[in-house]
Amino acid sequence: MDKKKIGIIGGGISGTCLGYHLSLYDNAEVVVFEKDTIGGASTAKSAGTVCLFDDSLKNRYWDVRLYGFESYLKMEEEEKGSAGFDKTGTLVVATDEKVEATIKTGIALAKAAGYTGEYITDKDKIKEILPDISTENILGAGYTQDDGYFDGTMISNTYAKKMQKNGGAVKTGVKVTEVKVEDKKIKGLKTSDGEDYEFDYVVDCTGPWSKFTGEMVGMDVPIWHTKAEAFFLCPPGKKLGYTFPVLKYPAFYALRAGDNIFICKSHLSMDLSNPMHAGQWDPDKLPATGGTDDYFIDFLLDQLECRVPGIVDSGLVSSWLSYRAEPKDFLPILGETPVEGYILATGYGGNGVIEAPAASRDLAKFIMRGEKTPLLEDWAFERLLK
Amino acid sequence: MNIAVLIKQVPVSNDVSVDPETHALVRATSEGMINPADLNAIEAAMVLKEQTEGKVVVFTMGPPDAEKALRDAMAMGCDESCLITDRCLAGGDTIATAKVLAESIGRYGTFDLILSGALSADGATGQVGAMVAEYMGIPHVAEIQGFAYDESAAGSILAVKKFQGMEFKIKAALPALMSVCFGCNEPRLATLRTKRAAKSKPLEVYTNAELGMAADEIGLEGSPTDVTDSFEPESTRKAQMLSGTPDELARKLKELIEIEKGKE
Amino acid sequence: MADGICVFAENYNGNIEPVVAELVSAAHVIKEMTGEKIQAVVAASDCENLVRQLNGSGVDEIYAVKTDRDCMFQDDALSQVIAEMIKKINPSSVLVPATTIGRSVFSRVAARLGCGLTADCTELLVDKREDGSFYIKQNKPSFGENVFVTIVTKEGFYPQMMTVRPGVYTPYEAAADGKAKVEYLDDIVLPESGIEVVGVRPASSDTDSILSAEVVVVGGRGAESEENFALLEKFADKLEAAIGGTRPLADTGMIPFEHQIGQTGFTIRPRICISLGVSGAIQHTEGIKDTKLFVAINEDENAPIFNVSDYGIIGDMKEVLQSYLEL
Repeated sequence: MDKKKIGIIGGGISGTCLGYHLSLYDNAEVVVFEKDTIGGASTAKSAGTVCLFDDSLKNRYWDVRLYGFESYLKMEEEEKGSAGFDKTGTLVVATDEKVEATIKTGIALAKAAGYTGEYITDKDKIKEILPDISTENILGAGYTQDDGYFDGTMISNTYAKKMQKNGGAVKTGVKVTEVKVEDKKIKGLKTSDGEDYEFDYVVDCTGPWSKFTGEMVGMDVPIWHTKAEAFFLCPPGKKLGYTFPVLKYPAFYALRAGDNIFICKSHLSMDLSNPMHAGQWDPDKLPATGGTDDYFIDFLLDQLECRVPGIVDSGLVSSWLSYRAEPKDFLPILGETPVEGYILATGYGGNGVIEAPAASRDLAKFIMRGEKTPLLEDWAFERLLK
Repeated sequence: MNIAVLIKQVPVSNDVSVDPETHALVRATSEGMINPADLNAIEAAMVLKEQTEGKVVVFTMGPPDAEKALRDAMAMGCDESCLITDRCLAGGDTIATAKVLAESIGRYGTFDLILSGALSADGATGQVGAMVAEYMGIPHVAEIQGFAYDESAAGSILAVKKFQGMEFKIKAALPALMSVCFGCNEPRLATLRTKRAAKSKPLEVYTNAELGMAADEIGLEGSPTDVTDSFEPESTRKAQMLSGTPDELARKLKELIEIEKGKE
Repeated sequence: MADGICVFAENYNGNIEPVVAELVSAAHVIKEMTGEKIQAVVAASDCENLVRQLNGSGVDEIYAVKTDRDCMFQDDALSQVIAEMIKKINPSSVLVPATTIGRSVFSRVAARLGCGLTADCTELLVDKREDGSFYIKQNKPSFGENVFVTIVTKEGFYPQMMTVRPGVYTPYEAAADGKAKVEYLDDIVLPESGIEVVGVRPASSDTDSILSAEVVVVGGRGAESEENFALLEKFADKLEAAIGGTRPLADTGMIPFEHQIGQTGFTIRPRICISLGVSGAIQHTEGIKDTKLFVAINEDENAPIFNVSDYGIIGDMKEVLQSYLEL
């Protein structure tokens, strides 16, 4: 079989996961180019929650969620810690009937796959799980002990390692400076260390950088940045004293980080027409920590006062800002583009860790065998041109 | 006891560029934070404030966005703040900076104690505090671990300083300046509520219109030293690999640690 | 005309500090170019003894002020004495150890003389102006060690004054001894000071707080076995280091959660960090900043930790630590 040479730009969750899935084909020659470190940037700032029944990825894509979750469970089984799994369980709070219905559907789906899950309306029981919560103005909460959060950086490094074992290559500290195109067809790329590569396919896995990456082939990749603003909170008394579950509300989510709590505005609460929420910025200018806006303080204070009053007086340990890459429908862009051989695997937004395994599985099959799947059709670049 | 705390906004990362014309280091694109050791100075001031009557005023000199550092300091409990900002002050060395700070403190009011962090994370000169003390004509103790306020007599304060494996108690006549070591206490954290409250605490802005300092005293012109060149070190931080038998490696490791420990 | 390379003879407990010999080396490098004399300044109550130690250390002239009392930490007063001495000697450059005392005293001296003070130089280079006069290019690190800057004292400002980082120059080994010219500047008197040392006792080292520790040993997954962790504890004990760990160690309960590094939002800033069996995901390395010495030991040669550490050892932490503990 003819070898297919594939260059992947970006060594985050998207690039490493795709690289690994491609490396499972014996006629693939894969090189991942990462300008900084594997699993850094937005992957490192990802919360890594892959919860069985929250609403961050619509239940329509349940199989994608499940495939992601189980891929990481198996990774963790193979080598403990390699996916950074912290099995804290998840509490998803129903603030209205619509949310409640989604949670209940999620529970049914989780049970169908053999996991536990219950919808709790007994407020004392909810308080047993999360003593600091307020049960005022909520209908109930979905709870499972089976999930928790993963570590996107660890996962990316594990995928990169597994890919290298299969013969794939990783170039870190190397920036792609030019993508070579002839007659609307990909020829290869050039890098900052002066190397020149020939490729049949170049895949853009650069997430928030995709707009700039696309410019190298003269393409407008229609993604926006939404701000993922996060705080690390040190709870009053400095100790939680209980296992803080992944906590999901429509507007924000939280999870434990040692004895601290990581809290972030959810991507579904983002409004692409609000300049405080969304825009097109330069991710290279993002600082490692800090950068949050004042409005986020007011937002969180209001939310915590009524939702989780027990932690409202937590100390602010640090904060960070990350850009999520979101197409206007909040779904990723996968697959071919008008430039032959130029493939997109970007726009995962707040769901990269959840979606990457299923998306990469299907995209690898498409690149290596030319076969599309319903998922690829749903998430095709074409849909955004309409 | 009224306390002034001098803080500096430093970049959260040490990723900087160089202005090709002035050779000044450009950090405008970098997110700022309060210099880590200054947080310890603020904490020390807060503890003293709780033990005495009085207020804590935090000072910084920098670009207008250094207001953020002042707001953060007020979210930790400082009562008032003073932002010293003017284009003509930019690019000053430690001498020019200390002159402006001394002038600003004097203009703002009278203080019993002036605190600063011992070293900044960016320039790391550790000089400005002592220079301010010299310009104000008051004594100072550099690089202290904290205070023994309870044992202090009126008109003076006892500072605790570690030096050469010993712990010294040093009495300073007030007013005095002290620079506080990084890590000597656990700085309190702001909360969402104190962050919000800090937005409405007083912030005074001094430009050179208020200070009225001569052009040859401030900024680049007022600095006896010039930055004439900037360059990147030959290798960025990429580990130098050590090899050998376990015994040889252990000896090398020990040598590295002892050399570093020996630098006080 | 300013002339001479002046070295501050820092002393403690009746001894000239070893770093002074390093500065004498740096002064000789300058002397080779400029031909100036090397001068030492010393001011202390036990001055004669210190002068004796300096004589034969490779300096040409020794200027001394005998103070009427021990002036340890009385930098407000001592700096006046030194400033007067420098005015009298009128050297073209002054080299000061970049130490607690050097920084503290000479910040005041520089402010008094209005001459500037370059901090923590790691390299001094002599260059010539168009008019043939010499000047010193003072190279120093900035922003961690990410950038180095060259600082020059402006023309017409004398002396050129700088602190020099200890450990950069090798100590000077003098060929002959006792030939330096010694001059006591008796008309310079130590003024009153607002500072008084009222107590001294041995300092205790606190390794309970990971946030403030100067030396930290960090264990990762490779340190998870009981045997390895026990070695790590002994190693940390020997170094008087605090113990931190990445999440796997906190998860197993070997270290308390507040000693977990990375993914908690806390950043530690130890001077020395030794990591053992840490692969180095970014959440970990972002949790450690501003280290002066970072050594990583890991079995995996591709571990990302080697991208951020200063020194790397590929190998079994057990073997290295066992050898270390036997040293």
